[in-house]
Parts: sequence; C-alpha cells; structure tokens
Amino acid sequence: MTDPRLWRILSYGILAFAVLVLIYLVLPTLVIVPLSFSSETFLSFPPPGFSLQWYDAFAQSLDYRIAILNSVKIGLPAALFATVFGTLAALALVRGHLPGRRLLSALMIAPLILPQIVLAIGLFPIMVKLGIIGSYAGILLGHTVLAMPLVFITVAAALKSYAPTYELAAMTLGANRWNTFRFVTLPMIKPGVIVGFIFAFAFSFDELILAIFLTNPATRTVPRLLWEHLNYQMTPVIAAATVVLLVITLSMLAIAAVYARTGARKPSGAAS
Amino acid sequence: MNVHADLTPDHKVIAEKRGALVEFGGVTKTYGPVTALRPTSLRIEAGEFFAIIGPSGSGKSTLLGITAGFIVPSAGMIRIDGADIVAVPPYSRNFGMVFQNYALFPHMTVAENIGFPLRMRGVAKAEKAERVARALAMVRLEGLGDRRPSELSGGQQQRVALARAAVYDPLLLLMDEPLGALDKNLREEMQEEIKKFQKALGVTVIYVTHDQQEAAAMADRLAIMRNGRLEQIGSPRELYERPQNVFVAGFLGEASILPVTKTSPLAGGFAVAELAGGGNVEAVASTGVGEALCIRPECIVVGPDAEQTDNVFAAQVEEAVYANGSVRYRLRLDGSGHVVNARFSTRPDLVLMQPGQRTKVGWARRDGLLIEGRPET
Repeated sequence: MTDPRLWRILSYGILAFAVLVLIYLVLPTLVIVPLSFSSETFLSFPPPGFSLQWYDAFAQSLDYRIAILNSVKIGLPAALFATVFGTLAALALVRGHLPGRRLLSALMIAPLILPQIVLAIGLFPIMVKLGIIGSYAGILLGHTVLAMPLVFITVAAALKSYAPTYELAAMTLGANRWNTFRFVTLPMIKPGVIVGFIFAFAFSFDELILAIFLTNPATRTVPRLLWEHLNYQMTPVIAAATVVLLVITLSMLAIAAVYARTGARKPSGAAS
Repeated sequence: MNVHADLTPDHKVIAEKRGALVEFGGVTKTYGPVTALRPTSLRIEAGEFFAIIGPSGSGKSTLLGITAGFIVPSAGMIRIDGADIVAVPPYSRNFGMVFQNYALFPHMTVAENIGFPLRMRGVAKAEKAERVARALAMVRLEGLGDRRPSELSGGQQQRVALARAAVYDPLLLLMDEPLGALDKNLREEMQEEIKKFQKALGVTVIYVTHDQQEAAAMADRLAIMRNGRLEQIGSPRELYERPQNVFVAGFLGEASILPVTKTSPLAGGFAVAELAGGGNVEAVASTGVGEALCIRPECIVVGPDAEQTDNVFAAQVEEAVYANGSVRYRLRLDGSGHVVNARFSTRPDLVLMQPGQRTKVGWARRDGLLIEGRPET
C-alpha cells in the first residue's frame, strides 16, 4: 500500500467513480432540456429536430400563466410564515431552556421526514370540514407546515454556530430582550434566515402531492398543472415548462448557496 | 502614584466618580442536588479591584454570572450601594462586563460596538460620537473606529471590549478571564493597562481568573474559591504569607507543605510540631493549628547558613533548575523523607549545587506556618 503508483491509480479510480455518480444524479434531470427544444409534437427521445415552438406555446398558455401566479401567491406567504415560525421555534429550542428540547426538535423536523401523502390524506377531510379545501388558505397552511422544518434547520444551525455570549454581552450593555434580538441575534443569524426562506419558497414552488389534494383548478400550482398535462397530453410544452421551473429553482438555490457562504465567513472571522 | 499624568482633563472628570460598594449576603446557587455556590457573603469596597481565583468548577463563574444577572441565585441578596439588585434584569443593572472572547459584535464596526450601549440608552447622535471618540482615545485606538473587530489583533479587540464596557460609566466592571486568550507578553502589558484604566475611572472591578499571578499583580484584594466556597479573602500578600489552609497555600506560588502529626503550643504564638515520619519543627501557630506545615520557597535557607536557623535538617539535592537569575532546588530531608522547595536569586559567581549533593536545609520558626488541612501526597 506504500507504492505511490498504486495510490495514484486508486485516486484516479475514486475520481472516475465520483464523476459517474454525479452524471447519474444530474443527467436524468437534464434529459428534459433537449426535449423542450423538440420539433416533434409529442415527447420522444432523442428529439428529431430543433424548435422553440414549445417555449412559445408555454408563454402563450393562460393555464401556465395562472398556475405560475398561483405558485407565487402560495409560495411567498408560505415561505414567509414558515420563516417567522421556524425562526421562533429555533430560538426557543436552541437558546431556550425548555424541558424536552430534543423531543420537540425531532417533532419540528418530522414533517420533512414523514411521507407527504400521510399529511395530505390527513389534511384533506379536515379542510373539507373547515370549508377551505381548494382555497389559497388551505394549501398555504399545508405548505407552511412542510416548509417550516427547512427554516428551523438552517436557523438552528446559524444559532449553534456562535456562543450565546454575544447575547449576554448585549444584555449587560443595556439591550433588553427585544433589542438584543433585533440588533444582535437577528443580524448574526440573517444568512440562515434568508437561506431558510429561499428553501421554503423553492419547496412550495416544486411541491406536488399536497397541491393535488388541496388545490382546485382555480388555485392549482405549476407542478399540479404539469402533472395533469402529463396525464392527458404529452406535448413538449411540459418539457419547456419544466425547464423554466428548473432554472427558477436552481437560481434560487444558487442565491441561497452564495448567502450561506458569505454568512458563514463573517462570524467565523470574528471568532478566530 | 501618578496614574492621571497622561490623561486629558476629560478623564479626570470621570475619575472623580466613584465605583459602587458591592455586598453579597448569603448568595447561594443550587441546580437540583448540585450546589454550585454555597452561601457566600462578601463585601467589596467602592473603587476596589477585587479578584476571584480558583480552579474551574470552583464557583467563581457562577458568582460572576449571578452578579451580572445571567444566573438567578437560589437564595441571598446582592446590594449595590445599599440597594438589592437580585430582581433587576441584566440590562438594567448598568454594569460593564468584559468577556474572555470579548464578544464584540462581528456585524458592527469598532465604533458601532462601543456606541452600542449608548444607543441602547438613547444618547443623542452627536454626544454618542464624541463619547465613542473619547473612549477610543482612552484605549489608544484612535482612527480604528471604522474597522471590523475581525480586522484587529487580539490585544486591540481586548481594548475595544474594555472601551465598550466602560463608555457608559458603569459603577461596577465585571471581567471574566479577560486576558485568557492573549499570549504571555501581551497579557502582562494588558494587566498594567487595565489597572491604569480602572484607577482612572475609579470603578469597582470584580475580576475572575484562574491565573494566580495575574490576580496577585492586579488586585487590591483577592478571594480564593474551591467547591463553591470562598476559602480565604485578603490582599495578595496576606494570602501568600498567611494562608489559612493547605489549598490556599498550594494554590499561590510553590509552597512546601509537610504533614505534621502532633503539635504542642509554645509561648509567643509559636508551637512545636512533629513531622510525620520523624523530626520536630518550631513554627507559627496560625488561628487553626492544623495538620500541615507550610514554608515558602524563598524562606528556606540552603547550605552552611542553614545552621544558623531554628529548624535544621540534613538533606540531599534532588533537582536544581536555573531560570532567569534564580535557582530552584528540590531537596529531600533525611529521616522523614519529605521534599521541600527552595528558591533564591543567583549571581554570576555563585556555584550551583548538583543533584545528589548533600547539604543542610533550614528555616526560621517565624517562616513556618501550621495550617489547616491535610497535604496531598
């Protein structure tokens, strides 16, 4: 094992394997991209010719326009609520002295781990009873519950990244609890809060199962519309819509990644 | 003392203000069955520099946390100039605190950090700027107000923390191992600076550290804590020269602590004690005549001169260590086999003894103290 040649071969082997895994992860997602430029009228691979007609059809479609608007109308407030409640929960469970904090933390991220279908089936009869099935309020509630763990995780991580000494210092300097939060805690966890918000919005924007159960044709989101179109018409407009969705989601995740990096740099620089 | 010499007239105005008188009355903290702080009563005078030292887990941080208001005591009271403050939240106590890692807010500039307590007090912008500038000047950091804390050295960060904790003229300044993160040379420089700063402000200081040399160099008085209890309170010299028990004697400096079995009083506050393992010594009978004899290393005479002292033993050199103009010998006494440590200054012409060499050891009876507690073996 001390032979350097053997090590070099081994490291090339590991590199090749890593590349293969990456291709396996990314390629199926990217197959959709050439499909969206197809000249054919149904989804087939490989596409026989190049055309932008499906992007044109997507842009012209009133259904898609309404669905995108719905996705934003649901996604933004859901992300906002999830951010507020997720941040409050993280503060209580990371900085507070509640009994049973471990159990409560586990409960907080349970919606992320449990199958979404379970929640969807549970919410459906309740919302029927409440008369909010198919309304914005219904899907908003559902998405807030599912997106909250994402914010909880990012904000809890931000809170755990620095010692609570900063808050104690602020208090000795005359800041009451609210001012301590506003001028010290919030600026320190800001990257975590923003990344959590982006994750929450991206989640709501992509979510299908709850949308199937809790929306109606007037409130349906982009993923639900895509799913319906897949069932009835297999035109490449679906591919075009998916690529647009993909670009939006990826750019949001890129923003989140940039924020997480700049945020991580600041406190660590001060701690050293 | 000429500490005001290099201060501007502005600082003299501050210097006339006095620090607070701090009184602890039966302050206790228990966590379930665990006692972090036994009932503690203590009076710290206005303007006093008071250090608390002890190993980790001794309760010194608990006492400081209770004073700052982070920890609610299970019982007892704390009076500041006569008023009980136990129920007052930390942000209304108007104390300054310097933390071990400074806790400078990384998202604020140096000037914003120092201005933060003034902002919380609603001080007008112009006055705030002026007071921040004055505080920066006082810690010799003029022109660095726009920097981020992360762009400063450890010593500079320490001075910013000091300026921030003092800019609102607190009556009491709490310091929690403030020099723990600095290297040795800088630490000594900062000790002087903090001391000067405290004198100029006239503020009362409670200074927690585990470094006994630092505490002795800076404090007017110090308290030694162990197991949630104040073991002894006094000036650095009192504690060093008149320790009451084995723990205090062993914590400060390197004393020789020998077990004794039997003591019988003599006239004039002295006593004869029998060393465990044989041999009699004459020593000062402290308040509680105990089971240990304590002798400071600089009081022990080695060589022919030892014959002139009250307690003379034949001994063998076990170890000789030379460091910066002084020499330390470890000597084993014949008969009882106990080890004593001696230390004295050297001159270039002095010939040092070597390990294995035989010699005489002795000390005056006024330099041996009978103290409480059983020495560790």
